Amino acid sequence: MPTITFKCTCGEKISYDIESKSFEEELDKLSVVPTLISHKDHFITVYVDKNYAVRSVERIVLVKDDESSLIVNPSLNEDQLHKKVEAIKERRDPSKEFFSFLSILITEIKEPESLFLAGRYIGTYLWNKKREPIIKLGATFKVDPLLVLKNEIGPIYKNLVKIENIDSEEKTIVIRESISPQFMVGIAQGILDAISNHADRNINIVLEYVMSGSTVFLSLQES
Amino acid sequence: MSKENSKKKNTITFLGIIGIGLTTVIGSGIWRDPLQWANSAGIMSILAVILSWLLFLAVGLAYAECVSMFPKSGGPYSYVGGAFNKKWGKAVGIVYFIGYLFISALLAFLTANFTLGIFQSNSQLLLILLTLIYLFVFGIFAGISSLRAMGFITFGWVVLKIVFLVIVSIMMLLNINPANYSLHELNFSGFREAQQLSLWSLLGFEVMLIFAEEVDKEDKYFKGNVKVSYGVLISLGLIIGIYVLVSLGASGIVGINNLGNANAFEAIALTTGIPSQILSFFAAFSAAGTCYAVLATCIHQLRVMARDESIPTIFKKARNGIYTNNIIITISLSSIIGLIMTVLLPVSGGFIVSIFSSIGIGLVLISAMLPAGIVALYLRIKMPILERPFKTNIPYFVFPLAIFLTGFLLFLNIAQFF
Repeated sequence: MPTITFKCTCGEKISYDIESKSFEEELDKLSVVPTLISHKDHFITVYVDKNYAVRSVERIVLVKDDESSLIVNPSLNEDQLHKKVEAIKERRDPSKEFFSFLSILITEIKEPESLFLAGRYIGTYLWNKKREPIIKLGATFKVDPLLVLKNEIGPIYKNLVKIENIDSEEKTIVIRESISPQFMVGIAQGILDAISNHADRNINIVLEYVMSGSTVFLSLQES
Repeated sequence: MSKENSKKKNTITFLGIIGIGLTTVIGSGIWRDPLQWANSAGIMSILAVILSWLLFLAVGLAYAECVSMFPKSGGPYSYVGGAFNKKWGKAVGIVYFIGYLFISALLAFLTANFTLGIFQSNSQLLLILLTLIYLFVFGIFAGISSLRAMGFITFGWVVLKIVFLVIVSIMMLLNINPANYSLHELNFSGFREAQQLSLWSLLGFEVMLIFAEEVDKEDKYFKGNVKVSYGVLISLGLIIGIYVLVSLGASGIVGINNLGNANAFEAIALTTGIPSQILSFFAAFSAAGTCYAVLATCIHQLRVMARDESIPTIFKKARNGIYTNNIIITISLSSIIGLIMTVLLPVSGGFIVSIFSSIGIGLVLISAMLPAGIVALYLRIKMPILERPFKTNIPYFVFPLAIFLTGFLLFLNIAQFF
C-alpha cells in the first residue's frame, strides 16, 4: 500500500496510506486524483498523481461533477457505504425521522470520511425529495453561492441542526451543536451535487468550512 | 408510423402556438365590441383599449415568467403545482378545465347564433341543435387533429379572421364621418366604460401555456425555454395592433352615444355596405375558430393531468394518437352545459348566457390569471434561485398589477348582475 507524505494546510506534516486498487481505478479516468483526507478537525483534498506524488493540498472540500472522492484506508468502499446508508435510510427515512436515522448511522459508521460521504449521499436525497415537484416541471437552478446557501442548504439544515447565523455578506452559515459535523458538511456537498445536476451550466461553487468541536462554519465560494 | 414521425406530429411549431393564442383572444366579440367602445368614448376608445392592453401586458409578463420557470404543459396546473404543491396544481387544473368547458359551450352557442344570423333565422330549436352539433363537430375535429396540425389549423384560421377584420376595418375607414371623431360628449365615465368593456376582449391567450412542453424545440425562432414566453408577448403585440385598427374604424362610423339600441352589424352594414349576413358569417367563423382551439385545449389539459396521474390514467390512453376518452368527456360535459344554456334561453332571456359566461370567465380568472401573478411574485421572493430564462423587469410593480387586474375583473364579473 503506497504512502503519501505532505504538509497539511494547517502546517502539520502528515503521512497517509493510499488504498491502491480504488486509486488506480480513478487514475484510469484522471491524471490527478483528488483524495479526501480527514485531519484532526478538518478535511483536506490532496491531489495525487500517478507516481503517488502530491501535486497540491486544499483545505477546501471540492469534488467536481465528474470526479469522485477517494477515502484513505476505508473500511468500506463507496459502493458498500452507499448500500449501508441506503439500508439505514429504508429503516428510517431521513426526510421524516432525521435524528433516528442519524443515531443509527453514527453507531454503524465511524470514520469521518465515511460520514462525510454518507452525508453527501443523504444531502442529495433530501434536496431531490424537497425539490422533486418542481424538478418534474422542468425547473432549473441558478449557480449562485448566496442563493444556494440561503434558499437550499439553509432551509434543509433548519430542520436538522441549530443554525445560529446566516451571514449574507460572507455567504457563511454557522452550525452549532451538531452531533456529526462531518455528516453535516457532507449534506451541504450533497445538496450542491444535486443542484449541479439541475443547473443550466456547470457548477463553479466550492464548499469551505472550518470545524471547531461541534460547530461548523460553512461557506460557499465561487471558484 | 415511425417514432420520429409520431414525435413530430406531437409537437407544435412556434407559428402554431402563436395561432392558438391569437385565435383564442380574437373571437366573435371583436365584430361588435369596438362599436360599443366607440359609443362610450369615441376616438378615445383607442386609448381605452391601449390602457386595457397595458394592464394585460402585466398579466402576459406573469404568464411568460411562469412558463419559463416551469416549461411543462398544463399552464396553471404546472405553475401552481410547482410553486405550492401538486394538490393545489391539480385543483386549479380541474377548475381551469371546467371554466373552459363553459366557455366552449358559450362559443358554440355564439357560432350557432351567428350562423342563424346568416340565414336571418330566429329558430330556437335550430339554435339548440346547431350549438350541440358544433360542440360535437369541433370536439371531434380538435380531438383527431395532431398537435402539429392543430397549431397549423389555428394559425390559418386566425389569419383568415384577421384578413376579414382588416377588410371590414378598411371599409369602415373609407366611410368615416369626421363628425364622429368629435370629443364634445366625451366624459370620464364614458371613457371608463370603454376601458372596462375592452378588458374582456383580451382574455384567453394563456391557453398557449397548456401546450408549452409540446412546442417544437428544434424550430428556428427561439431557443430554450423562452419560446412560449415570447409567443405570449408577440401575440399580445399583434392583438393590440389589430384592436387599434378596428377601433379606429369603429370610432369613425359611430360617435359618442350614437349607437343607441342599434345592432352593431346593422350599423356596420349601413355605413360600409357590407351585408349583415356576411358580417354574421365572419363572426360565426371567428367564434368557431375559438371554439375549436378551446376544445382542443380542454382535451389536451386532460392528457397533461393524466400524464402526471393527477386524474385517472384512462385520460392518457390513446389509440393511433387519438385520446378517445378525453374527446368523449369534453364533448359530453360541454354539450350538457350548452344544452342547459340554450334550452333555458327562451325563459331567461339573455340572463342564462350572461350567467354561464360569467361562470366560465370567473373560473378561468381564479384558476389561471390570479395564480399567475401570485406565483410569479411569490417565487421572486421565495425562490430567487430558480432560473428564469424569461425575466420580467420591475416585478414588484408588474406582478401586483396583474393580481390587481384579476381582482378587478372578478369584481366586474360579479358586479354586472347588480
